[in-house]
Amino acid sequence: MGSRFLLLWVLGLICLLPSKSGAGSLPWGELQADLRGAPSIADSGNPEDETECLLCHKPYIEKFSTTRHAQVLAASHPGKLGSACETCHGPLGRHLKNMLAEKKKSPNSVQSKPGFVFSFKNSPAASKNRVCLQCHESAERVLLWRGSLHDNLGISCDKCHVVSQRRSRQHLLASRDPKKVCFQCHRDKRSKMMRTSHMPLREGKMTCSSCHNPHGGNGPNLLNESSINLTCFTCHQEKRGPFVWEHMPVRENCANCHDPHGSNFRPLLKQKLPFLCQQCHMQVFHPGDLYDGRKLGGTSRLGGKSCINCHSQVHGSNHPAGAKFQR
Amino acid sequence: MSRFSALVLLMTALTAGLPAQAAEEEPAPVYEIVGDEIHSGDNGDWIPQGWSGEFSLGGAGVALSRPSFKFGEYTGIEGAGGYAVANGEFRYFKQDRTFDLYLDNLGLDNRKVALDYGKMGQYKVFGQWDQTPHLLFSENRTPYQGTGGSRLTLPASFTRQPSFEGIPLPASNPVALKVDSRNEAEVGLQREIGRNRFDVSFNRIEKNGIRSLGGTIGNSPGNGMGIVLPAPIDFHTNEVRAAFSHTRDNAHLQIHYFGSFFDNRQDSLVFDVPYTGLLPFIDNMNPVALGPIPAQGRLSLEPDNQFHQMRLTGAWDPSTDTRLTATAEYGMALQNNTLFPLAVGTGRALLPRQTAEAEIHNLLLQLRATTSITPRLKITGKLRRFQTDNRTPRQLFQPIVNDTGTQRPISSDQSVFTFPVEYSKNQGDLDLSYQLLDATVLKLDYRLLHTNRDFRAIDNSFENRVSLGATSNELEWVSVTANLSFARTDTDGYNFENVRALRNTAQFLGSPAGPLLASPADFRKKDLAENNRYQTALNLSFFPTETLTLGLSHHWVLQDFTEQALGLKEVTTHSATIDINHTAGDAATHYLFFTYDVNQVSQTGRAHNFLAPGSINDPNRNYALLLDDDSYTAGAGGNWLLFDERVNVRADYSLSKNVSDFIFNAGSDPFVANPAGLPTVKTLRHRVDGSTEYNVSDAMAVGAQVVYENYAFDDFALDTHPAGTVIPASNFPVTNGELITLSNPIQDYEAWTGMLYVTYRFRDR
Repeated sequence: MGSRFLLLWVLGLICLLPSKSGAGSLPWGELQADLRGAPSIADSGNPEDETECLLCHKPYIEKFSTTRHAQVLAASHPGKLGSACETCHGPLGRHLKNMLAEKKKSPNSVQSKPGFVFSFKNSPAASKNRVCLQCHESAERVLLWRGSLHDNLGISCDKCHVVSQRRSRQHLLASRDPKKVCFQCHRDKRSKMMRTSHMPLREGKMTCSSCHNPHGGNGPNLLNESSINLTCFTCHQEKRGPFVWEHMPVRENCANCHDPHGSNFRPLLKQKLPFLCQQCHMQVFHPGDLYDGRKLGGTSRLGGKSCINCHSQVHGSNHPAGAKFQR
Repeated sequence: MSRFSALVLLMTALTAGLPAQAAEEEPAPVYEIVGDEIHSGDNGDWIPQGWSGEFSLGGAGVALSRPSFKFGEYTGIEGAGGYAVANGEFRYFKQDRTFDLYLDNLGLDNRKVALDYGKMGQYKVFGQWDQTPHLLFSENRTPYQGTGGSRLTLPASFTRQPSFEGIPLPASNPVALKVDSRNEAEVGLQREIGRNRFDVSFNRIEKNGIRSLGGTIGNSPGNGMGIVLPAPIDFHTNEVRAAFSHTRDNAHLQIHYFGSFFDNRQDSLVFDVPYTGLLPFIDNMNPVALGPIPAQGRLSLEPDNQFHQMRLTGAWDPSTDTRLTATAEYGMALQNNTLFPLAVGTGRALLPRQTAEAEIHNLLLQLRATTSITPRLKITGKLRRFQTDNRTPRQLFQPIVNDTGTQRPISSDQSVFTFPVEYSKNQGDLDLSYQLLDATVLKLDYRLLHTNRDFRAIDNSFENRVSLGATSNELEWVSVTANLSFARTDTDGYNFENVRALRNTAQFLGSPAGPLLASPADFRKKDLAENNRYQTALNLSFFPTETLTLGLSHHWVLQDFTEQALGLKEVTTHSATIDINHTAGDAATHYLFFTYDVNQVSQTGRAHNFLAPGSINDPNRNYALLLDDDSYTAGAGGNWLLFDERVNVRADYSLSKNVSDFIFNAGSDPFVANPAGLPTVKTLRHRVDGSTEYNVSDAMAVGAQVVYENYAFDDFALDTHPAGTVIPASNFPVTNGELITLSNPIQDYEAWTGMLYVTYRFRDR
């Protein structure tokens, strides 16, 4: 199976090789209807007066100027605001020419909308994303964006990131609290994090991106790491082992037993003990017994830590006599 | 509280003395048209340079109705008292230089300091220190001395008993169960040279504290006697990350190394056994024998380990519409601690090997191609293989049960094999994404996942999944995301006897005890069994006005295991949410949400034992459990800027209520008939958070915050057994041993927190 898989892997790569190469500059003319025929930035003439954008957009630029984006663009285009604006809004030549004509007609007008500029308000998600990917596609966490779950669903970058003003400390997120960005869509996770057993997301010590890469990761469910367990081990290194005695479903998937987003059963368990264990253990005597209300108070298998009162090494034991995870 | 008041006054006085920066409103732009050119009159200095930021200083006081670890679970606040409020952010930008310093919760145990300095496009150095406490339980009691270490001793005055039922435990000491702090420090460097970038970072994580760990003596079907132990947390981890990236116009390559070195300074926990007398224990296939309870027991704690990982990631855009990405990752987890003797106080001569020699390698190969066949149709294909290769030797170990019994050489009839478990997952995905309209996307996915496992009851399983999705922002007044998927997992047959044959020797399986220790043949383990999984998700956002958003969402998942008679039968989750958000410019925002979650788990079992021959196949001994877990989550609040933005008022309310019911049904056999439900597990938490901030000037604000929190939790497993008591032995179906507890029920509480602070904002131009 392994060799067949590798062959498919290589064949897939060869078959998908296209006939031409070279992505080149962003073709602005393809992104928005009124930009058709617009040249690439490299071919366009820069605005003559580098402060012209401030004439109409000063309030916007003032807010934008406090962002890291603004600082990066200011550093890469020193003294050239117009060039900085062109990075995301496309060639401004026709926009300024049109505006100039409007201003000549009505010098005090600030309401005219000359167009011929790439707008993030009404553009398709794919077009908006291509603007952002000009610079960000080579970033480690964005490398796998294209073809990822969120990309294929048509999610645009500005659903989560706001570049026009500084709302968050880092990453230009739409909210100061990174969780709230994800909660825009993942509302069921918001309620799970309010459960009594929870990781410290409410307290701000973790964020969703501590485990997930919303731009596309190497793991399942947009996880940062290539498996669920490798993701958990980034904080829980002590659980990594490997152990002499392995608990088989634990080695494969921590989420077989735990719900990392929150639970009513500590610690983050999917079902109350001992019933969680009974989903896999039905051997003779106590694994298979019925633990109902009649036994409450009279057996350690319902009280305290339940099964873990005795089988405390449930994540794996390194003791030579730890076959039943009691040592 | 007098010290607290003095602190607040001092902070206020100090901060009030800071120079307030008057920021005048910028004049409106002035146009001037000379010839064909427009001049703004601006000097081009459009971006603020120099320092900016803010810091807050103050004090807070906490009043708690009773100490409860749940209040300060991740903040470290253990009881009533006060703490200093100290937060800040300091940012600097000049031409291409940046410096950021962030300070959070300096007055609490969950403080964090992060800073970075860099020259854009060239380098960045960064560092951070992050502290996170985790309170685990309060009001715990143990008879042991030496808590926090690797040797727990009973005081000389402690009298060992065959049973403590009805006998008060002498000299039970209070012990705090908590991760005192998880300290993480990180330093790193990024360097860019042309198209190349180098990243290197080092971080160290230290975790110290005390947790609870079950210590048992003896084994079923005899009197397994137990005591929950205070076990040390003394973890130290060093980690290194290094990466090299090379970027070209249409390609990107990255090589990444990750090394993690975990050191547990306490490799075992040796404890005095509080019980005395004779204990029946089963020595695998031997009949139950009587033996003396040992004086001590030893638990292994998490062994030191290392993890090394290399990852190579490449991306290539052969055209603007096509992207190929490939990832190859190889990791090695290594652990070679010296093994303990089979029983405490004995030698290691009878061990099959002296060290663990545990080693698991993992490999990831992933190739993804995405291309636009037409401007509107995008196709993505993915091939993925993830495999683990467990190189730990598979050997027979003599089963010594919990330090009881006789240590004997490895024998073919009594020993059991270790399982170096490993698995591989081969996955193929084909996704079609079609842009129906400018802002409407339809999506169709197919996935085949083949999982191969060693040492499991199922060797191969195949999951076929189809999903349909749609996203639309076409209409100005509504946004829709919908998803529907179905997955079917098939297997090549379930045979638990295969696993027993690999685990045990042929001599044992052929003995009279062998078949008696089996599971019912019609039982399936939940992570392996055939199942169907249906899933729907719908998110709607309505925008009736520019300032109002109404959100509705519903998520439903049904996983059924129809092919199995015993085990997990069905899991159903519903989650329905309504969200309302209102924004009136910067002046006011309001929100309201409510979520209703249902989680229902249906599972069946069979209470069988070899005292009743044939019971393993007797359906009259079947029972069913339905977990009905309902959760209600709500939030409401707002933020208001009043009096010409001089006053900022904020209020938030949240509610979380969880109700978990356990409902049983059983067959006619008297052994299981007429079952009784268990008490409901309940959580109720209210939180009201209100604050007011008054902007004395553009540079300075004073603020006050009040938080009320009310928490109640009922859990039958904890509520019936306070700390330091004995859970008595049960005689169902045969006597099982008693247990000395350590932790108390979780304490309900009401908490008030009051806070006063001063914030100073600054900004150069």
